[in-house]
Amino acid sequence: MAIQEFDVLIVGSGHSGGMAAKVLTSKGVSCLMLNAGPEADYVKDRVATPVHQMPYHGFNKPGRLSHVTQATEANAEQWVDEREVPYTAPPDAPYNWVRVRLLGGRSLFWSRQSFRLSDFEFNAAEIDGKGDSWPIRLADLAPYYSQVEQIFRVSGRKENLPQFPDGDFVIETNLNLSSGVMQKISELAKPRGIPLSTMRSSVGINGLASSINLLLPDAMATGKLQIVSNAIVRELTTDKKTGLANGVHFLDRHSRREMHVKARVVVLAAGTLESTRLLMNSGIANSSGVMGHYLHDQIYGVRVLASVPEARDGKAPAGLMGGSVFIPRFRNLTKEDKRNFIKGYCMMISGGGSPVATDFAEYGEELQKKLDHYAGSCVSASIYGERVPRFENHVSINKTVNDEWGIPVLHIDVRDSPNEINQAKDAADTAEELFKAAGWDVIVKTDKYHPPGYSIHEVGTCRMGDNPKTSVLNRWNQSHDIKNLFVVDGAAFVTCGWQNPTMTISALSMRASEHLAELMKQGAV
Amino acid sequence: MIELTQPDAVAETVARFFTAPQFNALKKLSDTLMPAMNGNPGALESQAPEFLDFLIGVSPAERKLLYRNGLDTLNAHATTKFAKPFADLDAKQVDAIIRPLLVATPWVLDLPKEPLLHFMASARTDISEATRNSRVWAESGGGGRGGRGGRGGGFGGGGQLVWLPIDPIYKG
Repeated sequence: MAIQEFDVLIVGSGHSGGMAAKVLTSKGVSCLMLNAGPEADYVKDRVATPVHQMPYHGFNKPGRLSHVTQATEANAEQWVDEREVPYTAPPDAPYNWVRVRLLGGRSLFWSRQSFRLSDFEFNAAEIDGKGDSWPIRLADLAPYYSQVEQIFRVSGRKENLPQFPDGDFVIETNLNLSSGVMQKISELAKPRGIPLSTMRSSVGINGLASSINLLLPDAMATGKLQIVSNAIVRELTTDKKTGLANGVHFLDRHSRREMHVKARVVVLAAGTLESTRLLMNSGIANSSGVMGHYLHDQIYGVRVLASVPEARDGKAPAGLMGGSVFIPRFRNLTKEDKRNFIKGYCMMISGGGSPVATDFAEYGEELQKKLDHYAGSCVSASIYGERVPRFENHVSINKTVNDEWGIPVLHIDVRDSPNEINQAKDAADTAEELFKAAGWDVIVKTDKYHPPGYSIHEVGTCRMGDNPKTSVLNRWNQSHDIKNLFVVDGAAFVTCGWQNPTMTISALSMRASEHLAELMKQGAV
Repeated sequence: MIELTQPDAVAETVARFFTAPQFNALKKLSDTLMPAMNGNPGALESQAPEFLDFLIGVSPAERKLLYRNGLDTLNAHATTKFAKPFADLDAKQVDAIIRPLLVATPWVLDLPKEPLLHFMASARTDISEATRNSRVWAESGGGGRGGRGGRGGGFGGGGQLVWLPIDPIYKG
């Protein structure tokens, strides 16, 4: 029996790959999906275990997953093992590359925050006065956002703010300012030009908002999708005469047996850095010289905690504490708002929390008394901000280091600029001023943030643009150099925004896949 | 299925990594930073020093050195100031040595650069987690001590869903 040539080969099974599969198969396109890791069984592969029965009592095995701050002993097996798939970085520029190779990828474990990018992000060059804009605007992506929000069942509240575009929410949320502390925040926010809203979140179905329950089942039901797991793609192959992509070499994860599969079109959806790594190891699609550059994500970690005096020692009057608000970007929205940084950040404020032991220098009984004194009396602000995409923040192939399967690894060189530092400082200062104006005592204020990559929102490295000299992909996520090659994950981004990128990744993948299906129908690829 | 017994229920961890003076200093430090209180067991009852002896003993070299140097320095300060090892100090003497070394560390990745301060910040968190994640703590129904919540611990023995190795590669 002749080996089948598929219409489309999709590399990766997360949100972007799953969406590509769903859209393409719905249009009659036969797809083969390759996923690097195995399928996890949520029942068989997990066991309820008291922490003291874990081998390391919850500490995680020392030296394992040292760059995955989110790793715990309980979840250690879900992350890519850095010893199997290493990467390198300069000693003075640590990078946290957090990966999941299970079927469904990081869509299995994401935080569900679901926002649209706005034209403040799409048209960044005009807004910031520097940098580059996307080749598309919100209006181009809005129809796809709407569909994605239905699939993921996004909840939220309409605000009619240009920096915080409203979604087509399946569930409308209410802004609950009933607690005393939230009313205070509300009174102080308005004259400061700080808008209040609610979190926007993907509710999903049956507790999961993942490729494996929302996207892949529909694709499988068409009979047009086959999925091979434990398939580690090593490189794309191209036709010597036409230069078009014609398949991939992959290795079986267990046996390392090398195989080749043919396809008419290749869609990369392996995640920003894995897709780029694959293209770099294949030595293709980089006539611009831009591939690997402009890697960026978001700053996470800035935190301010204040204590409400009348709520200490467990004496909070009923209705004083509790509640939460979400604050979308409010900085650098107008030319009059001149700051020592560009772009902006969002803030989540929650009432009724408590400090933790490491917030204080005391110990023993003295510490316990202090913790008891402040318990339940705190209002906290957590802040996430947008990093600036810069050419010099880039990845390259480290030819001296291979992964477990003999595939050269990435070298990641990313450093922050004064913009990130200034933005973080402004965020912490703003929260502090707000809390002090409320009459609360600030007991923790830190403007520090995690190393690049921690947010798990890394984007860029194959950015899209209309100019093939300054971009890797066109406005349809299609390679400028190889017309039957598409990259539909976060690698295509030009700016990341302060927003979780999942809705945008999914919408772009949907849009690109519809366009690809049309091109295939026309015989153009 | 046969009901199995967990090792911590019937056996004690054998401390092998630290020298005797270092381990004694660790026990003193543990008892000071995490004493039994409000009906909750302390670090000693919870065998936190023993567990940390094991954990640090299998940690990367940098962490081993941090702890060894830190405990040696506590002993050196105690000898200089009070002519006896850290483990033999009374509460007031211990306080005189450790209070200047304890700082608030609200940002988990921004521990002090100075090695002794860094050691104290690390040890404080590790001792707390080792105590709160112990079987003794779980069986006492321990809680309300304002821990950080741990790295997956600090749940006072409550069950977590732990991922087993998923289709692990056979490494021969």
